[in-house]
Amino acid sequence: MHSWRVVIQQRIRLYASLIKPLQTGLLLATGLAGFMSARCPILNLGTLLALTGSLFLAISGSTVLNMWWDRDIDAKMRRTCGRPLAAGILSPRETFILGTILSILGIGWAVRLNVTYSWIVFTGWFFDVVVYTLWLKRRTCWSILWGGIAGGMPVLAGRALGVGAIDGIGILLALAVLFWIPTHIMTFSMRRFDEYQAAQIPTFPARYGFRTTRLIISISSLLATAAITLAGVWLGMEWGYLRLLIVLSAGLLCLALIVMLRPSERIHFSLYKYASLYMLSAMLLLAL
Amino acid sequence: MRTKFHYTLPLTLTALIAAWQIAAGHPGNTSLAIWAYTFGFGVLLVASLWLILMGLEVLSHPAGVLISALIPLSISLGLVTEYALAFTWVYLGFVLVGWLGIAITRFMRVHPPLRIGAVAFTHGVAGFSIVGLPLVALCQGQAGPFILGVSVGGAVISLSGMLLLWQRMGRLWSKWRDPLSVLPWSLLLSTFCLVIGLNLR
Repeated sequence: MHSWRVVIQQRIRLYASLIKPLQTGLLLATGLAGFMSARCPILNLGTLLALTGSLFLAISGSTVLNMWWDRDIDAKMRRTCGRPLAAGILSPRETFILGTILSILGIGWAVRLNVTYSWIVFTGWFFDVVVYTLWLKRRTCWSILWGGIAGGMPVLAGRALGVGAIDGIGILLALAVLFWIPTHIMTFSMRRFDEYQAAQIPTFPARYGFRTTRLIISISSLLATAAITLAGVWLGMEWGYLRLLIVLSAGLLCLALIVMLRPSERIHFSLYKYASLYMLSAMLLLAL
Repeated sequence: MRTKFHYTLPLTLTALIAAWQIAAGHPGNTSLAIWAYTFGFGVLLVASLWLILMGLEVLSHPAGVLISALIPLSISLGLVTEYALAFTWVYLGFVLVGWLGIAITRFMRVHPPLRIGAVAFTHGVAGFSIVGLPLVALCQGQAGPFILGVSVGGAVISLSGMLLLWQRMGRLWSKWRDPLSVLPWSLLLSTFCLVIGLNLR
């Protein structure tokens, strides 16, 4: 009895690491923010729980399938070689089955909730698993654009569920996430440049050089903050929250500018962390 | 762990208090005052987050002095627009010239005395305004006793600015590293006092 409990606890721990809790949590937060930005009756606990559950399962499913497909890459990189699949603690078959079950449950639950919402969730899953992971990630550095589109789907899905249709604000919020992705991923690919090279993953720094990559990071930060601020204005966000959003956006822009003018590894990584904090804060402000 | 706690906790609280102040708005009379306070607390918020992410090394960046000068300059500008209305445009001119002066002397690598002089003069006038104007406002009955919170906050932030200046001059970093370790707490204390002073006056 006791040993069974230990085995189950270990399995849960391993599965939890497969879904990248921080990344999944952040994407889930954007979905919830999109839903709450609709100013719909969020106290409808049933809908809120269904949104949270279906998005969590769909995002987790796509992440696990991504891990399953990229296990050979993970094994080559110092940062990821300790992951359960790359380290041989979990079998590829078990991981594939887990990813498939989570994906079916998430998308299936979304279908039961709302058709438009489920189409968007499915599109996000499709872009992440099929277009980004299976097709483009090993072929072109531009794959992150498609990964970015997938990343923008949770907020669009949440918004669409709240208002009942795809609207301009939802698209702007999705664009904000799409433009935020380069800040996030390119900063990381510069910091872990050698590891990506060793794993033969095409990245922007390898293809276009560090200088151009830094320029793209700055431009995409500008576009992300512009999209999110415009969405806030369009939403009729309270003036105080809008001021706070502008201040946080200015912080991101200044950091992106510093990265471009006086680059250093520490500032690169700070930009990476600030961008995540910014996205989370911006989504929280939109939800209020 | 203990060092991290003493470093991250005060800076996180500073960021949260500054964020609240920006979102809650300011009881200022003019839109210029509101924007000046927003700017000051905005820089405090972003600087706290940067300090958490990048550590105290960020202060050695050439832009560090330039960004930190914005805090006293904008808060003092807000106070001038409220309590010395007649000097608003003159003071706005001083803020712009003073800040540009710091920027030019810093990036053109002029003689150190001139560089330090620009920082000391601009910070000095701004600090004097933040400490002095609330006292004038209290004496003239324009504000309640809590306005003195702004004076205390101004005094603490001026002290922090001086620590930063000494560190930049190389007189603090190598010999007395400890005073800089209180910088996060002094930022928290000054932010708290400023918020109390501005909201309960």
